[in-house]
Amino acid sequence: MVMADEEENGVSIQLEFPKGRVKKIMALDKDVKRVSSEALFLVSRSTELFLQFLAEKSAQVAIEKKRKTVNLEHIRVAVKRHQPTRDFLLDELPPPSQAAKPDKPTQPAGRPKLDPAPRGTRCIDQFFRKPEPENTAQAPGQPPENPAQAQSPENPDQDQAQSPVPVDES
Amino acid sequence: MTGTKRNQITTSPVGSPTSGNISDSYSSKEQDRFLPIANVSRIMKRALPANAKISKEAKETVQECVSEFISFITGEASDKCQREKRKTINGDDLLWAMTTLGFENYVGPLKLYLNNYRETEGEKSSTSMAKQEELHSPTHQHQTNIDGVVEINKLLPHSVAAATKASDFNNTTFSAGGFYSVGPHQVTAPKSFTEMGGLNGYRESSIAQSALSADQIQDASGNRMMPPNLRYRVEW
Repeated sequence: MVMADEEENGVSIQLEFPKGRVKKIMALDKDVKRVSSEALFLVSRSTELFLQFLAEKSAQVAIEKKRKTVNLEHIRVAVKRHQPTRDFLLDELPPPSQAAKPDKPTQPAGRPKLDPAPRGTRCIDQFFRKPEPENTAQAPGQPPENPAQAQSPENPDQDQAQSPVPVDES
Repeated sequence: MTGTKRNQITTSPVGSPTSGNISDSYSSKEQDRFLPIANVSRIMKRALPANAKISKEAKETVQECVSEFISFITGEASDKCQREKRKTINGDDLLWAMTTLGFENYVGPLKLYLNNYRETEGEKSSTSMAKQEELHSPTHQHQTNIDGVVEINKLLPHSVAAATKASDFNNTTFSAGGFYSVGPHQVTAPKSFTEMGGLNGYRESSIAQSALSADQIQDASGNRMMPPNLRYRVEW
């Protein structure tokens, strides 16, 4: 590991994420069989760009609310403001701490009230993490349905491709 | 990374019980499902103002978000490869996936990074040649894997008409690839199949058995190919 990191630092200093980890995350989708080194590099770099974008937007939300600490609510608001990110991330985020008004994007965040709620939220996440691979497999499956609907001949292919998944999992 | 590969190699020939495979795969998946939180935190802090702070829950949530982003982009690129009946996801597939999914803003910067990467890759090959002379076994295995992938990878950009410098290097690599038209492919395929074999073993025992036997054969062929590659590159 250390030698690998040194090589990565020597060859491309700007690469932030370990390649092996990125590759394993890509391989969670069992349809992914081979990935070229260029593809692996592009995914690492695009993830950095996405992370910077998310951090900057969350910081803007925190500044608007006159906060110095970025918390869960600021991230949720930042995700909601960007349509592409919202499409695939909003369902994955923890539920809002205040169930009274879930629809409004801007919610006043009282610090003492938020302290116990996020911990409870984390417990719920930990419970759902075990079946997480299934959820991860389903999430990428949703976008292809749109192009499949656009082109009718591909519908049976998509259906056939999707049907083996539950059989394998069972 | 090398340690992980060794563990996998150790598990395959022994033909360990199904429970062992399942537990290994499960623990490995649990640890590797997210990117390291230290890297995520560092990039977040760089993008924020100096006086800003990030709560622990926010870091963990963003850690999950970036993993979800990788799966999202990868899934779209993988579907495109399947429609076109290709097995390897390349850079163009990912650029296309980002445009389709609404992240077209990333394509411009990524192309610049990709050009720098291809130039760096050329330097990296010469560096790896020098390092291979040291004959460190873990480093050697790691470099062999990279070189195998790189060789196959360089053929694709050549057909796509890459940049001038990249074309020159690709021409060289192409002739090298032609000389070993069968070798690199055999070297690369077993390793990727080994990784997928591990995943298959986690899901079904019957597939695991066939994967194990196939791994043994391919490991032997992989070992056979190493000395010629070494000799060839030393001469080169």
